[in-house]
Amino acid sequence: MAKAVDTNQTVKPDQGQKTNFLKNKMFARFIKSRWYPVIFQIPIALIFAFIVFELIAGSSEAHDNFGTAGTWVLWWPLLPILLLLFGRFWCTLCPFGLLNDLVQKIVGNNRPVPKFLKKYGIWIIDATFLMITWSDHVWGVVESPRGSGILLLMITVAVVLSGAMFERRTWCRYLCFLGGVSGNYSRTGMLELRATPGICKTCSSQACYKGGEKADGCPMFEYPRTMDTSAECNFCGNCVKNCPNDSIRISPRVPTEELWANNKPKVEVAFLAMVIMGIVFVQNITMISIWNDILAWLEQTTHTTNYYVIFTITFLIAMAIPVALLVLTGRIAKVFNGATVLENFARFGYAIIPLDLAGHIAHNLFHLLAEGKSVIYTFLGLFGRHFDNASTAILDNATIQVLQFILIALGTAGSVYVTYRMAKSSGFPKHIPVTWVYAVLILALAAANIYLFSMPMAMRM
Amino acid sequence: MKKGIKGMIGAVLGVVIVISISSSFVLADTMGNTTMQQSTTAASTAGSGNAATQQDPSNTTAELKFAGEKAAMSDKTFKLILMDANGQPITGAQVKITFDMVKNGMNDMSMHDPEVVTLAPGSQAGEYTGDINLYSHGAWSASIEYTSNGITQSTQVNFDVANSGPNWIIIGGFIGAVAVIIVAAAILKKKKSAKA
Repeated sequence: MAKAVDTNQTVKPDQGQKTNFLKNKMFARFIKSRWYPVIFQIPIALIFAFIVFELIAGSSEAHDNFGTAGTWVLWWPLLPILLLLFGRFWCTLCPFGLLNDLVQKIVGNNRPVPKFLKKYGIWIIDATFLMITWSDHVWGVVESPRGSGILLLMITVAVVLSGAMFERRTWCRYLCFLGGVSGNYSRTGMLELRATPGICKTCSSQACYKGGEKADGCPMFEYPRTMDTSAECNFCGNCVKNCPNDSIRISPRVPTEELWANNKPKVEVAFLAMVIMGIVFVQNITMISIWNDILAWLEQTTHTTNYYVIFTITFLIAMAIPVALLVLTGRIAKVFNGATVLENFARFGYAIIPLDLAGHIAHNLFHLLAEGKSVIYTFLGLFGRHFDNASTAILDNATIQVLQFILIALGTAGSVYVTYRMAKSSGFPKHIPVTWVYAVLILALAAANIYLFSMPMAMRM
Repeated sequence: MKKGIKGMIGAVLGVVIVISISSSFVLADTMGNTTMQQSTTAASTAGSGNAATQQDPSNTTAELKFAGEKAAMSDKTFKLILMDANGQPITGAQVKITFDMVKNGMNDMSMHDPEVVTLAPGSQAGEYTGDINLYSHGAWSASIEYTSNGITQSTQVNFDVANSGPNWIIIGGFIGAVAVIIVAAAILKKKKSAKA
């Protein structure tokens, strides 16, 4: 097990005034019991195994495959909503995490995380996320049950390798592309786990990090005493079980609160935030009718009908535009606050996360609400019941569209407010003009989202 | 010793990378083409397995052939062989087939519309070919309509589509990769404990 503890983090004063769910005896007893989180993990792992089986061996048509519906119509759209409500709690339930732990217990070598992973892990996550999104569009992974199944099997192999060789949840912390996105969204989440520094300062056991008799140390390499972000906490409860002083609290918080005073912005996190915006654009553009016109124009311009080439160009442009816009606004903001472009890029890239999350939820809300019944139909299909031309919609398109616009409006407001708070707490001068500069960028991105959501969108199933 | 361990990790990583890359190719292949290795004839009545033909009232014979021992999901290319009453191949006909799943009662109906396939002449006399995606297993019907010498005739062939079953290359590759990792990790762990 790793012994090095990252103490180079800001220690915040005690926040005794915050509600602590662990004050509830029943809740605390449950979190500390050996049933948590296993009681959730096992049924989810069984469902996951069945879904993979369906994807690999069930109907080859996404329309009829319960695995496809369960994965892309139910789980994927629900995930960002869960991240907003409960932070990375999903990561505790994730079957890949459980598999990692099992393999580690049986044959784990517990080697330290390679230095390059610690240094470049998030860049690897950024690259993997881009690669998977690209391959989905080129090979149609989501639309192909077999493709989705193979993707899950490939991830499983990588998780087994990571669990067998490296300590704790190296995969989840440094390699999981979903973990990277989840970490970003969890920064806006409404739940946080923190230690009480006043209690921790007298503690010499560090059982929360190192582990104890009751549970292993933090699987995500976090030291709760100095942890000031929810990006890597998955609420596994190990620190709650191990803490001899009941220092840990689990509290609700205002969405986006964590972003208001970010003292250690990282370029790679800001980059991921911008790339996610690009991905939402790509997802939307390729599902609306103007995509065919864009394709035709690109075919004429590039003199090729090769979809690989054309889509790659579109993909690169869609990714580059938000990044370039953030660089540009960084240059303009520099005039007011005197910070470097890179400093502005890293800091204010975080401000886009609420809009990212809103765009992600809004996009997937369409799949959840316009195709939601396909989960029931495909499930009943397993028992020989089929439905003739039955609508898969839970809500009509007009209602879904209004909900999407409301989400984008909320995300925009969240992003602008985060910008204001960040500019104010950054220590740089002229925070109001800086806020205006980024507000223009956020409004432009929001307008692009609104335009794309106003177009009719294709279904997944 | 350290070199050996590094070598082993390298080998394991190599295996995983090779398997992943091959899986990607299989992935691309799975989503692109379906190969035919063996020929068989569709059942003339639902549920009867490999029965060969359907004879219409004018005594012409229609024989539908798919890849595999039984028509399987995702089969793409199929053949139709048309013979007249004398057992002679019917050539130069315009042929189209409407594929649909057989309905069992009010609640058991496909969400798909019937698919109409226009066939092209095959390599042999009386042979016609076309593509169809048999998206689900169960009982299917093929309504065949052909026009030859200005006369249009129709017949119907019912056949079963078998579940295509798991892709054993993928599953084998997956199990193999996991097994290699587990064994390598177990050996490394044993060596580590022996050293300690």
